[in-house]
Amino acid sequence: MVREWFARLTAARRWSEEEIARFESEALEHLDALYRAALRMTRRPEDAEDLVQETYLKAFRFADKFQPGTNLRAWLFKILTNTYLNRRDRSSHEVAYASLDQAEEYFLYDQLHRHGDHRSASAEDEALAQILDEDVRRALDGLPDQFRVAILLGDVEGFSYAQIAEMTGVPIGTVMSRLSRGRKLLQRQLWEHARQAGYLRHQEASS
Amino acid sequence: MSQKRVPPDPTPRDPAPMIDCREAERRLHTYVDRELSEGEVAEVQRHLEQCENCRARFRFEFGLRRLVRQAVEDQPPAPQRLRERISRLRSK
Repeated sequence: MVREWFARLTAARRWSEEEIARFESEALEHLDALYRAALRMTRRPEDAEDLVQETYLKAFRFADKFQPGTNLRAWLFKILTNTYLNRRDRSSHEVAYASLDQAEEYFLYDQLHRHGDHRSASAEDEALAQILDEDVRRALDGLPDQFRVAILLGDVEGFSYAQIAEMTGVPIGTVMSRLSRGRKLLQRQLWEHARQAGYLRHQEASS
Repeated sequence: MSQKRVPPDPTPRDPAPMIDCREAERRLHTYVDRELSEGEVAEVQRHLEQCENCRARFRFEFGLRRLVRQAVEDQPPAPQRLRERISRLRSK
């Protein structure tokens, strides 16, 4: 099947054999990053593997839509994101977290500051250093899809607002709002984890 | 390597106007996300130079982003069987 698609590309003299080989090997360079993002999107290794495989199948299928010389990584992440979001219930509308808009930007910092050891100049940074990867992943997993996807694309992959907007098919303002709400929610979850896990050694003494 | 001495700029430039803590907070995400214009970045930096409170909070935000990035990047790479499945797609 894929061989046929590639054959069509060469037959139409759009791509040479070398160009196809280069496209394929360059696409494979992003496999680990795509898989790690897929792991956090689907939260299950088997689903992540399926999602990534489907992403590559589509990338090969629509290779002629890719403009050589443009950002292949962004193009692959766009396919990954859309494939993931399309698999889910499309009817799920924008999650409303009105209360989050009022929440302060510095929520986690302020909480840690309030419960921290004030003899240390950077008690908040030290508390942050105690949070484990696992805690962060659990907090991420608890976020609604739209927020989690925005954070994966923005905070982890470093795509710009404009790129994320293009990838997810929403206006830039919506991307900013999803990032902002997602981060606030993430901070709340991290705070809950930190409290439950007892990372706040000085909490009892100071509260 | 010879070092070229750059003469000082004779025209004193206006320092970036001062923004307050509220405005700095409003720009927190766009600053960390590198989505601000050069002028806006300069204004934030000027505020941070003079405001220890905001400086600590901005530093914390950078730390938080690093934490999230690490949590995803520290996951295992794609399993070998997936790599093979995808490589096999080509010959299908």
